Parts: sequence; structure tokens; C-alpha cells
Amino acid sequence: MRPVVLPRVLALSLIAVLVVGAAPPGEPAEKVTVAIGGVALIVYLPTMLAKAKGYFAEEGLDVEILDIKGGGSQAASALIGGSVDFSANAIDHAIKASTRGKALIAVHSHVRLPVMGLVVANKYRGEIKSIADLRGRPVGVTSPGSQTHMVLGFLLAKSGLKADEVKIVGAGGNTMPLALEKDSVHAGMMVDPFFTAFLKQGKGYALVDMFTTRGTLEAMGGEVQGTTLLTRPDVIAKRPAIVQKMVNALVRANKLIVASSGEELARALPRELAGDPALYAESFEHAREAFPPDSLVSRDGVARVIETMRVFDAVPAGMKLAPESVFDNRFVQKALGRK
Amino acid sequence: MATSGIDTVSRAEIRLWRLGLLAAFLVLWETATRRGWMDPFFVSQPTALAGQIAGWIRTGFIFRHLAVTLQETIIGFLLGTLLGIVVGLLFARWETLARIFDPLMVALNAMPRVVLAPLFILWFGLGLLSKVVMVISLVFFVVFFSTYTGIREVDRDLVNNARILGARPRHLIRHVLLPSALTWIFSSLRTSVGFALIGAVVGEYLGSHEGMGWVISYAESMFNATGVLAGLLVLMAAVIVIDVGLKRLDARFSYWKPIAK
Repeated sequence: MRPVVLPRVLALSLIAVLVVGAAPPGEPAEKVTVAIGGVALIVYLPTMLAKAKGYFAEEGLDVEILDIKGGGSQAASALIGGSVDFSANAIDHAIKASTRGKALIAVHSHVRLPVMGLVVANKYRGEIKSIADLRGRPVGVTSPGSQTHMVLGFLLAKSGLKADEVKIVGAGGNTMPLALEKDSVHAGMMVDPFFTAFLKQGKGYALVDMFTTRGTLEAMGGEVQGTTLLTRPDVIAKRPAIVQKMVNALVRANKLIVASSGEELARALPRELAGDPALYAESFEHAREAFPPDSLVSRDGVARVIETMRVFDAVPAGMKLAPESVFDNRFVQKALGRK
Repeated sequence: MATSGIDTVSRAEIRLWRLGLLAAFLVLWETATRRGWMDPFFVSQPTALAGQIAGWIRTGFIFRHLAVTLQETIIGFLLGTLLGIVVGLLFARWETLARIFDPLMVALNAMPRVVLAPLFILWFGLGLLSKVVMVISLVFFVVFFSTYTGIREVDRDLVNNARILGARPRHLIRHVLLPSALTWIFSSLRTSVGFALIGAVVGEYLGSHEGMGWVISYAESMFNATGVLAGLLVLMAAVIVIDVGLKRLDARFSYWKPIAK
């Protein structure tokens, strides 16, 4: 009898381990790749936090995050080309791709505001008091064609300036502070942590602050969809379970974000992402309103982004583009339990 | 002419072959993208490229940007060449100098300058200067090494004879050394024109508000493969025009060539 009992005990204990252990019983973690253009930027916090907190792992996903040096456009290119399954990206990239016949779908809203600001170097305090005063001056964007470029174009157009009345310089995200200090540009579109740090050091002032709901409404005249999680239609069609798991983890991350303080978040992130924890906390508190508790992509917000992109013909004049064609809220709704 | 007995293809036939191959390539490209064998999103197509370039020319859009890039290229190219010739000459004349600085020159030349471009932009700003420095850094070494080698290759007997005839060092440089090295220098110039343009475009690509690098970078971020390839074609055409010009100059200046060995 003995030789029979032992395997049975072993088998039982093995099953017990499997049931108690990993959440999805039996299945090994599925590999998923996500491209991000600059992981330290605060707009990517939901993905980075979900990774750091192990939310993806608990959904049974083995998420590998690829930090693409060329920025958001390159990350989206990697997604279009099929090198990755997802990219955390400004919705702009889905819209641009759609004008060229490639569909990318936003399945989760990371932030619901642009989360950027227009900063002017201190020495022009007396001269630049409104956007209209930028006429004829060099103004920095992170790179030509990026979201900062499109939003700046929209701001200029709203103030009655034509796009070619301002010298738009691709000055890089992390090099923008230096470009301002060295007078290569008189003003620049800044993202965080650079915006907060630059203002804190007293080197400039914000002409437009789109880290807050109020600032965004004033500057843009309405909602603006920010960074989202993008994927391809074929991923949604062939691997819907993975998309759902990704979104589940991200919805959870956004809930944690809105319930946390900046200090708590800075502590939860790996050191290389949080940088200076005090600065990170401050930067987060400033941008707090940008994180949507419900994670839903906003239709009006997407529509406004499409309008901003018409300024530079990034969406060609006359081309009809339905906001609904670039996002899909079903996964978030399911994660929220609303169906 | 009579040297090749087997290969009797005439020049006209060669030209025909070239045109035929080019046409076949374009037709294949166009067909492949139209039939869906290749995705024009990634590789564009010849008709789209032609349309893009025609549009750029019609609106004058491309001339402004090409002018900026060529200005950076030419200024950097001239300064880099001048510097390369002067330093090459100094090194060739004063052996001690060459011996001291040789490792430094080799080390500097081994440095990948394209990776340095972001630093140049930090040091020299987002305007013309950073691009010119970038171009100089690429052109200088090509010209320097050619000048140095060219002058050292000059026939010793020729130099000694000129000395015996009473040539002073500056006469020697002007009438013997430089003319002999000219063939070397010119061949290096044609190589370095390509480098010069790369330097300017990479600089613009990384930080600027105008120029072909800006155009290409913008097209790229718009997922506009046609714009990227059309930009490259315009640059290619520019290099070919400059190269033909240099070839003419070479023919004019190298009338005096020492007979090899």
C-alpha cells in the first residue's frame, strides 16, 4: 500500500500549492511587451505603478516595459510595426496613425489632461505676458510633430497667431530647461518633472499650466484626452483576454493613484523612476487632477485632440475622423464591473 | 579602349542598362505596394514620393529647408576642410608634432561623433553653430588624414631637387607639397561632402526649427514614410550635384600631377 499512498499525497499537495499560489491556476505568466517613450515621465505613472506594485503579475501577465529613447512617436512606431503588444502613448499617435490608414486603439486612459505647461524664461518676464507675445520668437517643443507641438499650435491658433509666425524648435524633453537657460528658446512646452523643477528653481514662469483641470479648461476651452494605453486591433481580436488583464491592472493602479499621496507614490516606485522623491511628490500633487478615477477615455477629450491636430494639418483638412474610431472603453467598463 | 577584348559593351548600352534597372525597380516597387505585397505605410510608393516632392517644389516649402541645410553643410565643410589641410600640413612638416599628437588624433577620430551630437547642441545651442561644429568634426579628420598622407607621399627627390634650386619652405609648400597632395585632398573632399551633409542633417534632426533634418524628423513623427523617403531623395540629389561640381574642380586644379613613382 505504501508506495501508492505517497504519490497521492504528493499529487494532492501539488494541487494545493497550485490553487493557493498563482492566481490563474496552472497557467504560466503570459509575456506581454509595452513600449514607453521615457518611463520617468509622470503621464506613464499608471503603467509604471502597476508594474512596481505587481498588479500585472497578479493578473498572470509577465509585462516587459521597453523604454524607447526616441520618445512617444517611436514607441507608437514599435506598436504599429508589431514589435510590441501595447504602448503607453498620447492619444495623438492613434489619431496620426489613423490618418495614414493604420488603426491603433486606446483601451485605458492614463491621464485626462495634457499634463504639460508653457514656460517662459525669467528674462522675458516684462516682454511675454500672453501667448500673442510669442510672435517671432523661438519656442521649444519636445520634438517636431509631438503632442507638445500640436498643443502649442492649438494655443497659438487660439491667440490668433499663425504657425509660421513662431519659430518652433524641437528642443527635447529633458533638454528644454537648458535650452531656456541658454536662450536657445524664449519659451518652451515642458513636461514633468522638468516643469515643476524649473519653476521651483525660479528660472521661469508658467504662461499656461495644463497640469490642472482649471488651467486646461482655460487654455484649451474644454477637455483634452492625454496619455492612454494603445494597442492594435489584431491584439484586441486575437488576445482579448490579455487586453482585459492589462486594463484590470491599470484600472487598479489609477484607483490607487487617486487615493495616494505624492510621498506614498514616490516610495512605491523604483528609485530610478522617482528620482528626487520630494520633487516627485510635489510634481504629482500638482498634476493630481490629471489621473481619472474611472480610467475611461473621454470622447470629448479625443475630439478636442483631433481639433488641435488640424492646426498643423496633422489631420488633413476635410478628413472626417470619428473620435470613437480610436478608443474602446469596453475593457475599462468590464474592469469597473459595469459591463 | 582596346584593353578589354571580351567586354565590348558600349557606353550607350551601359546607360540603357542603368535606366532599365532603375525603371524595373520602380515598377516593381509600385506594383508591390498597389497589389498589397508590401505595405505603403512602411515603404511608401514611387508615385506618392513623386507627388510629395512635386508638392514641396510647387509650394516652395522644400527650398527654404534645403537652403538652411546646405548653408550649414557648406560653412562646416569649408571650415573643416581648411582646418584639415592646415593641421595636416603642420603635422607633415613637423614630425615631432605628429609624433606627439598622433594617438590623440586617432582617438578623436575613433569617437562616434553622431552620438556626440546631443552634446554639441547643449554646448553650441539649437541654431547654426551646433550644426557647423558637427559638420567640422566629421569633415576635419577625413581631410586631415588625406593631407597628411598626401604630403608625406611626395617624392623625396622632388623635394630635395626643389631645395637645391633654392626653394624656401613656403615656396616648397606652395609649389611642390600642396599641388602634389591635391589629388589626395580632392579625393577626400568628395568623401567628406557626404559626411558634411550627414552632420548637418543629424544636428537638425536632434534639435532645430528648420532644415531637412527637421523636415524628416517631423514626417517621421507623423508616421509619414513618404515624407521621410522624399526628404532623403532631396538630400541625395543635393549630394550628387555637389559631387559633380567637385569633380569638375578636381579636373581643373589637378592639371599638374607628379608621375607616380
